[in-house]
Amino acid sequence: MKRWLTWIYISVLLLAILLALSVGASHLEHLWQVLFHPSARTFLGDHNILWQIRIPRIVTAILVGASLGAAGVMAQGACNNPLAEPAIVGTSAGAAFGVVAGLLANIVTIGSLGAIGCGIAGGLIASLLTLHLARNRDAQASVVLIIVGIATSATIAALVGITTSMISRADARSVSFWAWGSLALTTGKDLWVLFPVVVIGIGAAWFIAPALDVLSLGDSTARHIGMDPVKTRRIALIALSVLVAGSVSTVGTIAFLGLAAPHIARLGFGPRHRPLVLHSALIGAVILLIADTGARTVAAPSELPIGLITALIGAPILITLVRRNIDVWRVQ
Amino acid sequence: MISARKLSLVRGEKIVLENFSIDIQLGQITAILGPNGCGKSTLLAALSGDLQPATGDISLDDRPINEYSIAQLARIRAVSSQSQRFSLAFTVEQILEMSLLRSGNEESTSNAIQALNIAHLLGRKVTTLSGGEQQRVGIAMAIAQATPYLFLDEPFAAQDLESITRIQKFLRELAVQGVGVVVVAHAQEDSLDWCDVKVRLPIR
Repeated sequence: MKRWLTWIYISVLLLAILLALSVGASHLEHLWQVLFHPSARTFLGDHNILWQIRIPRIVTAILVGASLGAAGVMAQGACNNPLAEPAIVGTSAGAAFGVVAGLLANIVTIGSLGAIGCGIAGGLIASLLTLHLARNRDAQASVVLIIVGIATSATIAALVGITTSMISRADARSVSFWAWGSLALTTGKDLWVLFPVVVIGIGAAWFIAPALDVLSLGDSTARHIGMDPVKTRRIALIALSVLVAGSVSTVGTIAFLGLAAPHIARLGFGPRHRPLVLHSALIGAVILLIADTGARTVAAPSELPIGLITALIGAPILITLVRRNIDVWRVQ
Repeated sequence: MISARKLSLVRGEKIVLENFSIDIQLGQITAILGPNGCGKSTLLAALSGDLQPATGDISLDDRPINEYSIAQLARIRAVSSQSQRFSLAFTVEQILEMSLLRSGNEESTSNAIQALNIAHLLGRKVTTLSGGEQQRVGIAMAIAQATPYLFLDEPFAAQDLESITRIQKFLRELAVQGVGVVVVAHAQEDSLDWCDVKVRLPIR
């Protein structure tokens, strides 16, 4: 494994954190004083912006980016398909629908553990539905899975749009939030719920990762070697749903990151899924933090949808890397 | 012994084999022959526990094969399928490591590497290998598992004469050691003198 590359990504993340702390719609004149003396109330304006808005948002971007990076590894590994990502196999739309349905039924509030629970249920049901509909006799055909996943996602996303327009609660999010995502509404309170969910999700992904190495040889070879492909896929989908639900219920749907981060990580660290989970999470965190800093500063004081920025940053990186090293994942 | 009685096998809508019986003995090489589409690979899938027969019974040591778990079967039989594809850029060494999930060891892996002449490929990414090299890696994975039964689906399809001779010699050695080897082959019966039993499937 290339340790130096890991340290480069960690350094980039630290630089991105510094950048995200320093820039924003308001210029913080006393940034370093309020950062290193959080209990002092000397510069109250700067203090409130930094500790109540900027830092929670930075931590959220890191957690959500890490979630989506690891989720992408689970989606691609479970489906044995380089095109799979949470937004394609139905997990993101399912999680969004789960949260919106919970809000409509008035049983959860946004950002709560209950909302994430609804998101996990929705994401898991949608992913399992995609797998079930794509079942081609006794084999799981990868191409069929992607086509069915796109159709399932589109159908559920439409239901999310319709359901969202039926909710009149003050804390309900907009259609644009569920479609493109935004970190603008995150608060420090969200982190207490999001953090354990991300840790559990990445832990589950780490646990099942070695089995995904074997699954990449195909279902029948996996069985011949002695690994149950159905059980492995189910556990990977549960990890995927937990990771995606935490992120979707907090910041809405952010597509592309779950596709790009695993590919970028794979080019640097090889195909083994265990190191891939951690490095894809790291790269996801870097990309989302830079994207969010861009989203809130490029057109300040207005904000751009974060999904647009992740696509702008991730797509060229992905295309460049994949063109230079096309034997990383051979499509059958 | 693997024993199949009055088997009917179906692929899709088509019945490929009907009322067919066969015994696979330890210490013997059994060749399954026949033209394209006669059901050789389907029979191999059924005998290795991958495919449920439409009718008939398959037993392994007097116990129905479908009562064995995936892990138990992996300790009893290894399979090299004709359609083995490698999508991720693992090295050949990593691929061989993965095949040892339930059975096999360093010695059996080293024997497999020697028999298939793939020592020089160990550090290569499996996705960059030729079709013939990939097939040799697939066969090595099965041999490395060191199971009592070994199923090989058309193992010589993409091999040169030298490789074919080396693999045949090694399979004979395995049979002498007590392994039950089943080989699906396109070859004519007279070119399969190195096998103990030749089973020709009926043309449908």
